[in-house]
Amino acid sequence: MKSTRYISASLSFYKKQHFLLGFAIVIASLVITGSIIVGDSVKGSLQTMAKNRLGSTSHVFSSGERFFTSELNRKLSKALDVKTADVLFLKAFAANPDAELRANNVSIFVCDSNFAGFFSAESFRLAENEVAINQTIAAKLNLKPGDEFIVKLQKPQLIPLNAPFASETDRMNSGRFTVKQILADNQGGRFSLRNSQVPENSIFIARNSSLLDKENRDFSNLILFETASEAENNLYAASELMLKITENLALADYGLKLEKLQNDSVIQLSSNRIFIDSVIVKNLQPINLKSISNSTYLVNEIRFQDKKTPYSFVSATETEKFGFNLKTNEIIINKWLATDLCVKIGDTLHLKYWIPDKNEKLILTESTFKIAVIIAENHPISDSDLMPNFPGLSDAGNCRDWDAGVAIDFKAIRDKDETYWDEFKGTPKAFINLQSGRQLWANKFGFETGLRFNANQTDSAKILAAIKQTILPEQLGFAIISAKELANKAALGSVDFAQLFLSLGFFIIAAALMLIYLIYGLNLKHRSSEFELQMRIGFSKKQIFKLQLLEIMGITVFSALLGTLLSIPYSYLMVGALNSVWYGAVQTNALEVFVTERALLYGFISVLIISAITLYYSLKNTKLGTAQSVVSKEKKIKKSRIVWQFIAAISGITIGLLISFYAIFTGQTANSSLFLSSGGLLLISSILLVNFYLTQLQQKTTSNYNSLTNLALRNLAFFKFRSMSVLILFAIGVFSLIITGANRRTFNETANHKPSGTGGFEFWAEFSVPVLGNFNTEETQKKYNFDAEMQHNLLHFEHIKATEGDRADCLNQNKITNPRILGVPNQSFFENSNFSFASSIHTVSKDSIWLELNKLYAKKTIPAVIDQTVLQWGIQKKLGDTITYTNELGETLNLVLIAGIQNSVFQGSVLISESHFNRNFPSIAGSKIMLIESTSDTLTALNQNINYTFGEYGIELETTKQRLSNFYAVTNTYLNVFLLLGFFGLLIGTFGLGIAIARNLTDRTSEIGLLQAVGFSKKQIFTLFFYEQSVVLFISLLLAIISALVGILPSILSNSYSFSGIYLVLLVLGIAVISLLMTYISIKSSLNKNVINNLRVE
Amino acid sequence: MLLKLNTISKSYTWSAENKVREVLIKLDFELNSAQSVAVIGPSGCGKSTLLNILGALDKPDSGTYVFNNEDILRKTEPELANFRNTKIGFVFQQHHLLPQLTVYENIMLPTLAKKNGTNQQSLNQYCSELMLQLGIETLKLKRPAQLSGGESQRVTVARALINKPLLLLADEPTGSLDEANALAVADLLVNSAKQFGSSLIMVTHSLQVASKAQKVFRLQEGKLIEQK
Repeated sequence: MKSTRYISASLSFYKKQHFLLGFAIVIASLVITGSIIVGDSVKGSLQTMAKNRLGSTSHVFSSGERFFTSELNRKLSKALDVKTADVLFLKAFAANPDAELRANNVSIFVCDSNFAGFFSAESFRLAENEVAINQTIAAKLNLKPGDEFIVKLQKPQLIPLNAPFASETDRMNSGRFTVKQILADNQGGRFSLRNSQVPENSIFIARNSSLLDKENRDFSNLILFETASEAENNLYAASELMLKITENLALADYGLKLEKLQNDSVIQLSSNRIFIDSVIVKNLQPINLKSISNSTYLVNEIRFQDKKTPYSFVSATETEKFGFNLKTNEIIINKWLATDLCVKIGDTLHLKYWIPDKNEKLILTESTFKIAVIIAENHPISDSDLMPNFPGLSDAGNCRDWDAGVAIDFKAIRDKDETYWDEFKGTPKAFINLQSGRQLWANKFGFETGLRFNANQTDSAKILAAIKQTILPEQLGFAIISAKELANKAALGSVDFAQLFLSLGFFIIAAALMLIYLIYGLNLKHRSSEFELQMRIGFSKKQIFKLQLLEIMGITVFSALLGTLLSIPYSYLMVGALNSVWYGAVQTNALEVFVTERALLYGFISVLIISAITLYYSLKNTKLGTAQSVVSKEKKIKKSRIVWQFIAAISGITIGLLISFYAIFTGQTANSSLFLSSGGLLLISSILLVNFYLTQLQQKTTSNYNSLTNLALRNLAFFKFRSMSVLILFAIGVFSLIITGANRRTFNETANHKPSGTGGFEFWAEFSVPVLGNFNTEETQKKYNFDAEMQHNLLHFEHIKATEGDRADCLNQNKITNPRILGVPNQSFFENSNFSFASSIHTVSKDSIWLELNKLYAKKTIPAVIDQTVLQWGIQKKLGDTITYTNELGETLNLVLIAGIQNSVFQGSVLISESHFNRNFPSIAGSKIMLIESTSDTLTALNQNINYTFGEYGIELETTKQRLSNFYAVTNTYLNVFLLLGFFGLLIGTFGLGIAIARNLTDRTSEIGLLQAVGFSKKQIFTLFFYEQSVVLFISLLLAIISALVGILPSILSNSYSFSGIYLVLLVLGIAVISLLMTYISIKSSLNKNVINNLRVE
Repeated sequence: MLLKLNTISKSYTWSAENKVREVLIKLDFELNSAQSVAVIGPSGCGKSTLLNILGALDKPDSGTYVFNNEDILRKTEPELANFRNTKIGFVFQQHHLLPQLTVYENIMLPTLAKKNGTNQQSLNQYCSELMLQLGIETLKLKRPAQLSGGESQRVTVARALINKPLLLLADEPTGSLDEANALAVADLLVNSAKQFGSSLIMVTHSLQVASKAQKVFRLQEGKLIEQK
């Protein structure tokens, strides 16, 4: 007979046992390979989403807060010979009034057929009242092609809204539009520069759209480049692209303008942002172009005694170049002003004007000057072109039509002022020297409003060349984004769902491995006489071992293969659940299943390895060929080992209890780490104590026993390995499930205190169009039409600025390394004790972290704080680490992470002080986010009211509770998955328990027969075995429950967690009932067999 | 008279071949108190079936079984268990000692099944007496795995006698022993039964072992025939 025949005969004869073994391997394989596939699927889906999001875009040129003309795109397309498309990206809000639906945070993409070329989309031609929309907004507003809806967008703002004199009115355009087309994901519908799996609400319009003012139709702020071929060969690196862009930038793209004045003798450089960027002025200084700098400013009032001249322009200039050597407190005025105020040389004038404070609030300030010279209105120092292009002023027909970004007292404007305007326009009425002007009204946007060059010494081309030569585009906030590379990195660096699902399915895998070990071990034991026979007839141990290995190899390989195949439908089930019932964890329903050969192979090999190891140990521990493992069980265990077991168990229990008492008596009842450690220690120690007890009982040779209970315990001790395996699996399983279940976070009233994650604020409002002004003032509230209820109930506002950028919160599956920056009112947070910190670097006290944010550690190195969760899981950094950004001036900005905020509404962003924010991102205007404190009894009504008031600013309003709950939802969903899979794991464990009992009883048939023979009734035998099995179950449940209850004390005592007593009861009852049922069935079926014959022949 | 079997019949059906095989056919048998009987016969003749019926582990297809004036076949399962526990003592060829228990605990095992309270002290005393009589008093705290075959058999006998049964049933008690040891075990059983006032029915292949009993019966064609 060949060994193959022996193996095939054994396989056939023990088919039931092998089937069970195979089943356990299939389960392990299913979960392991399935988890790898789920991991691949999430990554693959994110990559697909990234591909859909960007199409064939490899790089994006962004002009930040500025705009360039489409001409740049045309020149670049020609110069680079690659596919390009310029896009104007704006923010808007949309509503479908018929369905009473609205979408607040809407992205508008103004694009043409070039854009469609980046996606699998046919070129869409849109009329001026037509739009294309993506599926997200179509679903949100219930729109289909042909439907009409309303869009309101923020116009492109050439002048930052927070710049002095920027007009706040007429910021929006709106209209009713027809849906021409709904773009699918791969048609550009998902287009976004945000690395997120959550699609934006996007609307696509053509440049001739009535939503755009004619003068803005040529503006863009993005250029898409396709510089990589399918083979991923980049034709241009980002730096090369920037070089090409610099070469092709026109003056207008810098926001600058050159015009010839004074009969072409003078060339004036001015900015369409009123003030020429300081960096431009500074960088041009070394170039010897011989210019005259000037800065012309609107002064509200020039007063001499009781005489006032309203609204005049005053110019700070290099007066010495015109022959006037002014002191800093001296002023030149023109005759018109001198006449108006009846002043003479030597008189003192009072100038009143607005200047922005550090919070961008305009403050009315006064300065005094002594009149040094009185000049004619047409003096060479003076002309109307000195007045910069103030929108709302320069183009006004008369003074009463002025629409400046500051409050104008039209009553103060007299007829003679109108006459001056008619005759001299914005010609300054007074002049001070440049240094004086700089001290008075220089601001973060710059100071100079014009640079004048002698046209005989230079020309426009030379000036443009000098600018290109000296100004780096990055210094103006221009950037090349390696969009494709970043998207791929973000997708590949995303949360590892393979690892996650392996962890979540831990108990299933553990239960399956326990089953493999138990079933195979029991099989071997059942066949021990066979191995003994083999030994006696001359087989070596090695040969027996080899035969067994060969026998199970086939089963293992086949089962692992079957499990690998079945893992595909398992993955579909898991991914399907993630897209639906577990949506909270991934925030998308667009996940697809990606089955790769790699995943199947890795899964298959992993299962083979761990099954082989488990089987090997089972085989090794069975001691093949020896006269039963009984002999090994008789082996004496060293007494010292037993003593140490006892000491360890008692010490563990004592320490565990002491930790709990310490936490209770020191008032740290909310310290979940302490109680979890205590509970865990209690569990492990009590398991060790049970093990000690059984070991001792096993070793005990007493002559004093008198009950079935005693006999059952002796049996438990004798089969200690089996008993402890079941006990450990159930105890740890139930402990974990209770702990997990109790960690479901929820929200409660007490969590709304100032130090909590809400900061004590009721609302978190986020705007797609930033809102301007201080909402704590009546003036701003009136401007935004606050009704009486809002004025009464909204108690306090905190204004927060934000950069555009990705959010690194737990709702984003992509790995974000540079989350968006928020400029927060840290001083106010400090004074009001808003929020609290989970951790901080040792050099900073937790009490003074908000103040620490004001510090400057080194040049462009500032402190920052971040939510603890994001620190730990999102960006995976530690305190003291630095995140590097590029600020609006193109400088490297280092944010040193000094503290982690305790679970807060700020999840996803990195926080710096508002003063540092304003310095580094000066053009970012208004508040993007507001935290609102309110009376808490009318939240729903307030919610509607605020939404209505700020609707056109694209407000996304949520209560801070809701915001935190949304973050909790992710954790809670993972907990749900863990609970479900853990419960399945325990079910499999229960099934394993049934098998173990059945096999145990089969092995002990003769014992049952003997008990019957010596007069035990079936009832007694049933009781004995039922007690023996159920006591393990009950001890495991008891240990798990007691330890878990200690572990979840903070959850029980705190309202922040939704611990459900019903859940605990159902869980324990469910496991107990199913296990007892399995036990009952196994014992009953064993007792119903005719076991008497086993007494004769073994 | 201790027991009486009257026209006992028992047959088995082999489902594979769908054949019925009668092993006991209208068998009659009587046994007096303190009497020892040996039953011999070829393998498969029904000796163990007869023993199982006598020990109330199995029921005949027909016939009556009266033990100590009680109709055994009318008893319920718990009554039968109690009957086995209090009136019968079993000795097996394979010993069936529980490995998890000590020698003492194995001997005391049947006392656990007793529903009526028994004086533990007197039981302990009786157990010690049994062990002393059987020469295993020094093995009290040993485990079965530490015993020799002979020692194990003595423990089995002690276990069978612990509840002072009226009838000792021995199923091939010497089947795995050599001739000398087989005769010693047979002597042990006969003498023990005699000493503790029990009757003995011993099933064996060996004529020599059987000869130790007061009467020898051969089970042949489903009936017991006394061998003179």
